[in-house]
Amino acid sequence: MDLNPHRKAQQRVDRIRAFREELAELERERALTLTPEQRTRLEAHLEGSLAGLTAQFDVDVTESGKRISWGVRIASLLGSAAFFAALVLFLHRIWGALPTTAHFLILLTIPLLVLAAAEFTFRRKTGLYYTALLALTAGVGFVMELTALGSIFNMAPSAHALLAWGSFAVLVAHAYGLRLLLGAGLLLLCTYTASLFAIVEGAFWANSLERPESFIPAAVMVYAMPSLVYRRDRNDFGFVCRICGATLMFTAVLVLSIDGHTSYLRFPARTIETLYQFVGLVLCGGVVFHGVRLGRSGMVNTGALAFVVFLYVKLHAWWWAWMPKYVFFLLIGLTAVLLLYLFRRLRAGISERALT
Amino acid sequence: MKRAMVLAAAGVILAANAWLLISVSRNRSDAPGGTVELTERELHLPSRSGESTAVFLELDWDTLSISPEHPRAPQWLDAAKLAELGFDCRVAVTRATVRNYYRSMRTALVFLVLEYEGEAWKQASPDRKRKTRLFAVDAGRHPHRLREKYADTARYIITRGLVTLRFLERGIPGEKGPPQPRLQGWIDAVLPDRIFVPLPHSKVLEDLRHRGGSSQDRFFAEGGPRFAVTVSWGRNHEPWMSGVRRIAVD
Repeated sequence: MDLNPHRKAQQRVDRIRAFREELAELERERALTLTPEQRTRLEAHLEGSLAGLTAQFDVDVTESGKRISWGVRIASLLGSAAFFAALVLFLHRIWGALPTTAHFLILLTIPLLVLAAAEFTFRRKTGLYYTALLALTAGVGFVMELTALGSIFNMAPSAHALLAWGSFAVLVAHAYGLRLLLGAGLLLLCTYTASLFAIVEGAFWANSLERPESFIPAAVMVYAMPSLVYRRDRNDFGFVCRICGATLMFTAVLVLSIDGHTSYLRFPARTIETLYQFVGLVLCGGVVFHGVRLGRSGMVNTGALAFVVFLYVKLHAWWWAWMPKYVFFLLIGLTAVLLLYLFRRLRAGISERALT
Repeated sequence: MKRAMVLAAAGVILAANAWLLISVSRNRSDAPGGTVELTERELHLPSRSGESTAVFLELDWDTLSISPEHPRAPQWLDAAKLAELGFDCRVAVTRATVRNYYRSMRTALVFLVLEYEGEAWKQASPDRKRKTRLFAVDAGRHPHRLREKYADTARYIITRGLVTLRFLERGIPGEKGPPQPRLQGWIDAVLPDRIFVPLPHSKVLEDLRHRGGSSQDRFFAEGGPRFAVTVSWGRNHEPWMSGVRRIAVD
């Protein structure tokens, strides 16, 4: 996995620290003993590497440094949220005294300026966290900008705004290697494609949630995208795509398995629900299997969680109405024990594969 | 490559704004949706929300409904009209599974006709009549056909709205005879239902808002509406305000 330079540098520093700890443990257990000359050369090399990484990427070399960094990040997150809130409230206060042209120019300038600030911090190598914070703020600013302009010009809400916001998020995510922004962008673009189904149908685009199937084509495309697009995945974007695609697909199938009336299919609702319950369980198995093959625990966990939800929904549909409630929860408990056993077997299998 | 991505992202912001301005300009180039002078009855002024100084007017409309319990269910929005609006109403309302079938119908985006001081308002009950004189009287999928039918642009507004279909299993409350299941349309919303008041018009309304409260009851107490606003609905059937005047209250 080839991550972006800052993340990669921090991972190397963490590995060096773990290596030193393990080396000390091996020496205490007398499994390995370095000669003084070897030790001196090794320490010089490690110190040189750490100094180089610290100078170039501003990484944390100690555990306490890492903790302080987190404190700084949280403080800067709260600070930037407070600055943004102050700006929005100030604009609210003066909004009525400004002409429409000024409204337009102010709203247009805010996301562009914040994006320029994100670019500035990235070029100055101030730290990816600050670039990410500013990029996210630019995205929020863009959402607020179009919403406010739509309100000023009395426009009906438009689905095309989702396309603009989604494209912006995906482009900025690719520029700076930001996974959170990529996930947000993909979800916005999937919602946009779902809203197109509603528009073609003559329905209101914002009611696209009423037909969960309209999300499935986009979810499948997002899931399949890594094998087509990210051949050299430097930022682990493939993983984000797979998690977003799988989550969206599971959610759509879960809703359909509960309420068959929301389907495009013209079968009895009960048939549709049974069909999607089956599809859901197969999909969960598929994602778990794919995750095991790729060695991605995140995918395995997502698939397993969805499997548990599907199973409980199905058990509820089967048993809740006619069974005494204490027996129902007893059976749920027993099912959980069985699942624990299965997941432990699965984990043992993954560990075995990793060791060989 | 990274710089190209950032420039493309900035381009997306600029393109979205350009599209928005073109859309607004197109909308305001003509007013096929109608130009009507409405009063405080139809456009009421909400009280200040928080510290915001922006002024908005909220559109208040009514319709001759099937019953007082369902004020947003017009009498004219029956099964035939719903079919005309694109709802598939072919399944008989007496079938066993019909409830779930009609429950799955989606909200439709349609064009609504709002009539100002017309027959619908005259026929309304006295308590509803005094609140607003703007009544939804028809709906359709094609605005130009509606305009042909309701040609008076100073009295009929054509705007966008959301309509849903509901299956009334026990008919309408208070209906004569045994309850009959039926399909009924509901007007969920008029889009948009808020109109921004730009400068210099906002200055005229600002001091009215400072007097506190937003309810229409206040102007009833004061003897009538305190202002009238000229609003046009453009090519995209989106409104904009072109004038405001104060009305002297007796």
